[in-house]
Amino acid sequence: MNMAMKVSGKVGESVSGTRRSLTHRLTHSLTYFAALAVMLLTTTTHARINVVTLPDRDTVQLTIYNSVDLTLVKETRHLTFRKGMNKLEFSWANTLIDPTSVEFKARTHADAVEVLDVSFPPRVANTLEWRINSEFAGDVVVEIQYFTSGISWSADYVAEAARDEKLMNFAGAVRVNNNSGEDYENAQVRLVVGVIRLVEEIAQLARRDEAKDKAMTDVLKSKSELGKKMYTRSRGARAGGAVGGLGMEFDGIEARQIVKEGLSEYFLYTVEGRDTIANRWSKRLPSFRAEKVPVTSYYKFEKERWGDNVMRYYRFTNSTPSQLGNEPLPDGAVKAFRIVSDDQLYSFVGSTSVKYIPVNEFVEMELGSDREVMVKPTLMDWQKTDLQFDQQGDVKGWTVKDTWQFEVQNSKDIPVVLDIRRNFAGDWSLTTAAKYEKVDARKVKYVMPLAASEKLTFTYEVITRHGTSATK
Amino acid sequence: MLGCNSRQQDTPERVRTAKELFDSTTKEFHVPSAAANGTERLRLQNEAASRYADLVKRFPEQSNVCAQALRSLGNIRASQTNIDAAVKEFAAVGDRYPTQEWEVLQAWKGAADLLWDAGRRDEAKKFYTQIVTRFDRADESAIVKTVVRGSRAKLAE
Repeated sequence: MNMAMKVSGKVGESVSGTRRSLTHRLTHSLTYFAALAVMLLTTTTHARINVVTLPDRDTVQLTIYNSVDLTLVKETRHLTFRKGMNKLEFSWANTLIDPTSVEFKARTHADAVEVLDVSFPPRVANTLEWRINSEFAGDVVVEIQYFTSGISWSADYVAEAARDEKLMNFAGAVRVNNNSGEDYENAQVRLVVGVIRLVEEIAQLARRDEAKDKAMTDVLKSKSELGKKMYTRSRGARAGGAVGGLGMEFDGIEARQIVKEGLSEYFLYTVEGRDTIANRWSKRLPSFRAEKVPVTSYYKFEKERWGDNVMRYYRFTNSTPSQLGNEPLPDGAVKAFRIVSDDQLYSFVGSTSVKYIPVNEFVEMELGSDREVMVKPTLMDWQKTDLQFDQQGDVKGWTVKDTWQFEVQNSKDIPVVLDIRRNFAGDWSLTTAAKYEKVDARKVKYVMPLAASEKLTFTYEVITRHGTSATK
Repeated sequence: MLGCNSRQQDTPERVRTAKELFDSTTKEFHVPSAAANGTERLRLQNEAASRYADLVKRFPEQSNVCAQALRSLGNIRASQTNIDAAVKEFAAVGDRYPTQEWEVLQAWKGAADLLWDAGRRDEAKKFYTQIVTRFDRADESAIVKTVVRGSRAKLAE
């Protein structure tokens, strides 16, 4: 959008012309943008109108608080003020901008620029107009801040395991979705991880980055106060290389750094660089990439949970020794791949989602079933013994002995760890030559490393005492 | 002045329908009217006004949307230089929907500025006084404080 225009002539005529031009621009902008426009004041009837310049935004910063569907927008522009009265329009039509949160501040020549009044011109919908007195003529950097809804973000991850599944590359990205009604060009994006319970806490977060920036603090405070008063409004009307060398691409952008800051239970991520976040578009931005993260490929079998399937897990820790641990990892979807051949061919392993992962947290990603690891339990023998009867001749106690055989096979070309879990009820005791651990009163697990292509068999006998035969 | 009340049930369907009607009216008629000229401008304004009025009649219990609709009606009348009708609609926002503070603030300021610019300063000052009386609070947002400051300045003139 071309934001510059020149007007000259008598004010009485030129303002009219200016307003027509402005109206035209606003109509365009109302459809797509929250528009800013500088107009000249009609202080004297025959004064000459100077150059009026409305440049594009110089900077835009978005701080997105997912948990409350709120984004703090801070934008700066260079505006050319004339000495005396200036008018500046801001429209929020067809956007989800909260007009009660809008704030204007001169970042340069602040002592010479004063906002005298705000009005709501009736000729255009959902527009406010600042009346600004300037003791300075020339270029002024101004900052406009406001809150908007409709911008959200989500995290996703890609795990690329080496062929032996002992190391992996782990990369994170964030996808920003903009349905706010407004385009944000070349925006710096900051993301808040964690749940914001009170709007006041947003202010605390915002102050983190710019402790001296009172304006931001004020607008946040204002927002919180407005929230307290339950102002209501209608929103819609205003309206590196992978293991083995596989690289990752994010919208054609090379992976950049995201600066992270810890804030007790929150975390502030700042995406390095700038991106255009257009309305009704989503943009995927690289977040981090860790190489040679130690990982364990772990398999689980538990009939009651997954039937005959053997489930595959990748296990790792979000810690410094694991090449991670610089920050907590937000909730997100994970896709896992593994190198399967010498020419670095990748195969899809599985996908899952992870919950918020604090630093030093152990992570277990369930990646679905894997038919290359097989567990086949067979009931070999069943006996009911030790029958006891009451005076009426009814059975009041008995003992059941089950003998199970497990065939286990690893058809993969790499060693794996298999975890088989068995559940028992009542007064039970287990006899087996295989090593096992008791998980709780009703569950045991057999954890066995399996070499590549290894096949083995083990058995156990479980005795369960029922009725009066039970001893506990 | 159109009447709004709270007798109707505030069901989710009514909330959604009222909101959709308001949004479509704003987007399809009111906003485009600002860019139109002549008879087309008048047609769009009248259509928007008719739909806002219809919304207020059909969904009187929808406070936020009704308050916005009444204020929008005031804006249309003001654009048509019908000052008295505009002020009436603006005043109705505060009378009927006093809890819709942001809408009330805008409506009163709209009425006050309209009257002031028309040279009807005594009438304008009544609205500026209302603004100062109601919104001159320490914990208000920056924009509200600016409106109050501007109103004080007008009252001092």
